[in-house]
Amino acid sequence: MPVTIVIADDHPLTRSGLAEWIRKNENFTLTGEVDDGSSAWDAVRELRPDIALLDIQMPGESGISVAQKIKDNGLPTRVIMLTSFNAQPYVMASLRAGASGFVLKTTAVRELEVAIKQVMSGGFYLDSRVAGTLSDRQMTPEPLSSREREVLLVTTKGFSIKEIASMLCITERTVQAHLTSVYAKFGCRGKSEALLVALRHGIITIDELLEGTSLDGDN
Amino acid sequence: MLRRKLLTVLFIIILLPILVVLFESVTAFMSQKKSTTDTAGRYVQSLADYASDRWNDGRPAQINTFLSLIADYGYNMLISGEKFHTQSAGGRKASARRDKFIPGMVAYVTSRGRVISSSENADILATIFTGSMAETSGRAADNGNIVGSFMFGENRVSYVAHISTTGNRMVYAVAAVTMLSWMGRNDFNMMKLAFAGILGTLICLVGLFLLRGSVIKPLRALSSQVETIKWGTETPKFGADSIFDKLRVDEISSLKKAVTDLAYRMIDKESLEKRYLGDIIKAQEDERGRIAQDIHDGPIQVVSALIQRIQMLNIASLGIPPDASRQLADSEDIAQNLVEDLRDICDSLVPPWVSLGLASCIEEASGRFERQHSITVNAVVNQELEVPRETTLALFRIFQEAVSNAVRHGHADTVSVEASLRGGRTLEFVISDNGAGFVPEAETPDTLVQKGQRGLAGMRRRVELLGGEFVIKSAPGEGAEITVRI
Ligand SMILES: Nc1ncnc2c1ncn2[C@@H]1O[C@H](COP(=O)(O)OP(=O)(O)OP(=O)(O)O)[C@@H](O)[C@H]1O
Ligand SMILES: [Mg+2]
Repeated sequence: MPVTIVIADDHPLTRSGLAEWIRKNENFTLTGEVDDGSSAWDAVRELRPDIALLDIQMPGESGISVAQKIKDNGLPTRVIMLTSFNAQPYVMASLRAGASGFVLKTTAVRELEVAIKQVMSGGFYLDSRVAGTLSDRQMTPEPLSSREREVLLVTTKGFSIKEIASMLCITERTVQAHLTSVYAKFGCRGKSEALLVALRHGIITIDELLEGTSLDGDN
Repeated sequence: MLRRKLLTVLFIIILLPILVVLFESVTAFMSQKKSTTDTAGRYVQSLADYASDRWNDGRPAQINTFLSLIADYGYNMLISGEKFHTQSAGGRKASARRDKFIPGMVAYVTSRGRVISSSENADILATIFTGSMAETSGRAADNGNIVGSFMFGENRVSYVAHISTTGNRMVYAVAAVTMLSWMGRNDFNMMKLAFAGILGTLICLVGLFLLRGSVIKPLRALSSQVETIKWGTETPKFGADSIFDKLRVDEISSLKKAVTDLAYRMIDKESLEKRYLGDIIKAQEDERGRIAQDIHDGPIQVVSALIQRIQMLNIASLGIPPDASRQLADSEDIAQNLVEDLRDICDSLVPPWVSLGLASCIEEASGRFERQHSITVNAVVNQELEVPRETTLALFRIFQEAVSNAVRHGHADTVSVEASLRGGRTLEFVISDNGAGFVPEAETPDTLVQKGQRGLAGMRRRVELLGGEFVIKSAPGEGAEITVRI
């Protein structure tokens, strides 16, 4: 039973290229091909594909907001973001919106098959180029203390320092100190970078990330 | 040049002519009095000599005729044509024969002061004679004349008299003319003069006092306003009108109005300039955004599609010989690099992380600047800060320029950036470097822009547009610190 896929991308050249590639692959069935955010949402709702390939920047509604709707409506479709941007912050936003994969348009043909397989088996896929920019700098990061890991995890879920402090019953200053220590160990600057490093090295799993968010229920 | 107060100058300008006129009139009066006295003196001298000659002739009838021709109409009529008759003034009527007369008074007086014979009403000459002999009243002029005055009714009458000896040593001929004034109708009077002087000065002082209220004070208020006003942001405030403003001078009112107009115009100009600069900055950012969008939607997509085709070819066509496959892989690499370059251009045109909030934006930018310039960037940004995108963009641009300046001019290797909330509502953004530093005072926005250096000026303008405060602290050898408060 081939994997059903809907692709949403407003740029015809990249969309048709990928569509052609999907059609040629006997493991996949392309059930929908749309060029803006709202038709992407309609297609996913009606066709219930296994995978939705969503461009981040689209007219009308962004891919991230479509992913958020899919997650909010509890649809079984898994989302892989398809983008031209190589900015780590988008990865973070995508993950928070419930996406399971992040693939660059320029590596899609080579990596998409692996990505889809990984995502279909419940995993998380991060494009090798996006991940690569990080792994260049540090091969294996220094291990985190359990408290540091905890702070990093809730931080990446989008809670503010104040919320984290009250959640973990520590002071804001301590939260900040833990984060600074995490960044130092990872050799990174911000939480988005730290999240990628953690995901890459299995320090935090995508399930932990998503599960926590859905449990809290409030985004 | 000596600084003079307007009031002093006005005082001198007004008082000086008064004093000059007073002085001139005193001098004129003196010389007039002298010449009048001289002329009168010569006249009475010849009158007295003539009387003496008649006495020496010894013909009483002739003496009587002579005496009857003489009438004291006053010397005034000689100098002003005005008749002052001591007789009529004294109550006795003047007779018709007085139409032809010799002005003056003549009396023949014994050495003891008894009047032998005299012209009408000339008994008084006896007193003058006795006085003169006793040298108690009257004043002997240099030519032997006697100058003096006596009261006649309500009038003080001045006289000039002369005493001539006759052949008979016991008898003297005394002649005199009287006059009401030395200078025609209105006599000169020291009291009047002093009064005029004091009155003039008083009027002058009152005038100056009023002038002080209605001109000097408003002028001073005006000039202090003009000195302290912040042009371009304030209008002059003129205090509540005082009573003197009732006598307000037209010129000053229009001066006030002109200053106020000027202030408003400066404000207009300033806000126009601000709006203009804001438009320029906005247009610039819009344009950058448009270009980035175009690159993203056009070239990047096209090259991405190209890369996809190459990848598909390389995977799908198993029959491709290894040589061609390597060529394809190289082509893909080239295209990948091209996409990276295009992305970098887009990112430098519009940093996409600006929309992710100040904290993420500064963190992201710090990392990039570290790699780009091989420096250390210490960023401490309060995660809580909620900042509008427009402010984030401005702060990012300032950060960008500050780092570029620190590296290019200061050769700094460490830059620190800190964003925090001060006093609840003020966002404080501080960028400091450990570079060579410079003298910020030497760099005013105008001179900078003239030199084609827009970095610092641009930062200041961006902050001004957000209604914030921009401070540069630096000195040679001490690095530079830029503080923005919004
Ligand atoms: N951080 C710094 N350290 C040392 N000198 C500085 C620093 N920042 C500014 N300056 C001095 O101030 C001058 C003005 O800077 P500004 O950014 O306005 O212009 P610029 O950098 O010369 O030109 P532009 O920014 O337009 O390319 C600089 O030429 C330099 O001499
Ligand atoms: Mg500069």
